[in-house]
Amino acid sequence: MSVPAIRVHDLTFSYPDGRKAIDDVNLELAANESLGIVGPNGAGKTTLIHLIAGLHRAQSGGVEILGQRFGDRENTALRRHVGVVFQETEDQCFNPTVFDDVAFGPLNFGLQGKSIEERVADALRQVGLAGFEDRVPHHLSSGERRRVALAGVLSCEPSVLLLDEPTSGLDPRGRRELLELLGGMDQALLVASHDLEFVLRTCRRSILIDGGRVIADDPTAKLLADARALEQHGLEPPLGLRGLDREGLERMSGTVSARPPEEGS
Amino acid sequence: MTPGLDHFAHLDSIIHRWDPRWKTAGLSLLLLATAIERPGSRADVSLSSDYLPALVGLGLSIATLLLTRIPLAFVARRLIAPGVFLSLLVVLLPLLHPDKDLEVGPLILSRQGLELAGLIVLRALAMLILVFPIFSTARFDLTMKALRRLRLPSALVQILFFTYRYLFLSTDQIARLRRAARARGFVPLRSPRTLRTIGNGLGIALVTSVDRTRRIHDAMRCRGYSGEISIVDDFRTRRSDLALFVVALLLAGALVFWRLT
Repeated sequence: MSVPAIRVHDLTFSYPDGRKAIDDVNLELAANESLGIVGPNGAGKTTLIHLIAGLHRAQSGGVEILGQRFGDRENTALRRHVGVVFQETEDQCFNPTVFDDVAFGPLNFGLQGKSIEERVADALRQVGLAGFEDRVPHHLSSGERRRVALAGVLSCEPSVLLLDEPTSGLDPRGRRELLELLGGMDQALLVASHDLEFVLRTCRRSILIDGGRVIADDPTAKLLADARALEQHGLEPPLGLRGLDREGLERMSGTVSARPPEEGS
Repeated sequence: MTPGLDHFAHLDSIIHRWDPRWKTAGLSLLLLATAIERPGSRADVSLSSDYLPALVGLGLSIATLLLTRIPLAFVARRLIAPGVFLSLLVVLLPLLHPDKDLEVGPLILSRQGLELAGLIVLRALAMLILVFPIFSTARFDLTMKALRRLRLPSALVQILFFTYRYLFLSTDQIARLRRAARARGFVPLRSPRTLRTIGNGLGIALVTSVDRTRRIHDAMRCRGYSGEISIVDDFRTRRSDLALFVVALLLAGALVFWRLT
């Protein structure tokens, strides 16, 4: 049996003020699989992403990435396998030029010279920003900056991609372009978002979390078809999905994903 | 938004074309040479040993600045704040110096204090003006890379880089807070809550900047940052870079020699 890309077991985390943000979460994500994380504000989506990325230390339970755990010390070797695109891309793109920003990760992971230039060129081409090397990230539009953030992650060639609210601040065109972009990728993908249609199109499977607990772990279409459960947990399907039955939702599910459908979904 | 220090980095001049590493090293030596003080000059300011070298230093700074073709208005605007500080020095030093031997109307001043203040102003101006050829003739990030190549400690370069980078974002944020307050009828000074409102605004700016710092650090860690920033550059040393460096070195050496002998 192959090692899962992400394995979260019995994960519990509280902030220093005592607020429990994640409560006994278990989940597994295979390589090439995509998983949506949906839930209301304050449900724990971002905290879960940060825990999986090894940015917080859990009080109990653990996270394994490709069978390895982030230990007490900074684990740079493991970090290169996990790419995170944060909600606030303005803070993620902190370098003075797009080139420097996209090269930041590969340089830290020990690449040098020509191979850096190749990585940067490849990543920028992938996100459709070839020729942007000398541009200043803070002068770009939200959509372009999000692509730079994604290029900065892709240049590290991660095995797992974690996206926190990837459509936040994007106009409809930027959102569509991001969907197309993600559709061409084959890494394990975890998407935490309020944008249920985006999650439906990118992930065939999703978890619903509320109060730090996993409420449901189902095919995204099944989850979104249960309007009552969504309402109970402070969510409602977007206008574009209303009136669609489970079959209709299933037809839309994972439509932009290059990943093969998971068994049973 | 205030233009950055490197706003005119795109101009074309002999100083702009100078390799940032050699330029930073050469002009920094010249800057240090303008700052060097003759032993005993505080007690006895001399025209030939103190004022003339200081004037020549200032002349060299101005000449270097003119070579950069940076608009003088841009430089002048940035010299206003240090100018105010220097003016205070010119006013206070003749008044506070112990040897009072000069009567100007009702005031009894110190000639030596006045001479010393003039000398300090000349040197400070020479140094401040040289900052522009160093920092305004290449993109700030390239100057930072040059500093790293010159073996300046990584932590210091990172602090300089991030301070400069996020100074503008913080200024923008404060401007947004001011707009938000004005949109709700706040008129500074006319409002009895002026100090409280300004305090709240600055507090919010501080708290959000701490949050931002944490987010940036997280983003850096996720891409393998562990305290050291590696850099990519395409600096190439040409003969003209070396020649300019030698000229700067000779000028700096001559100034130091003149002052110390």
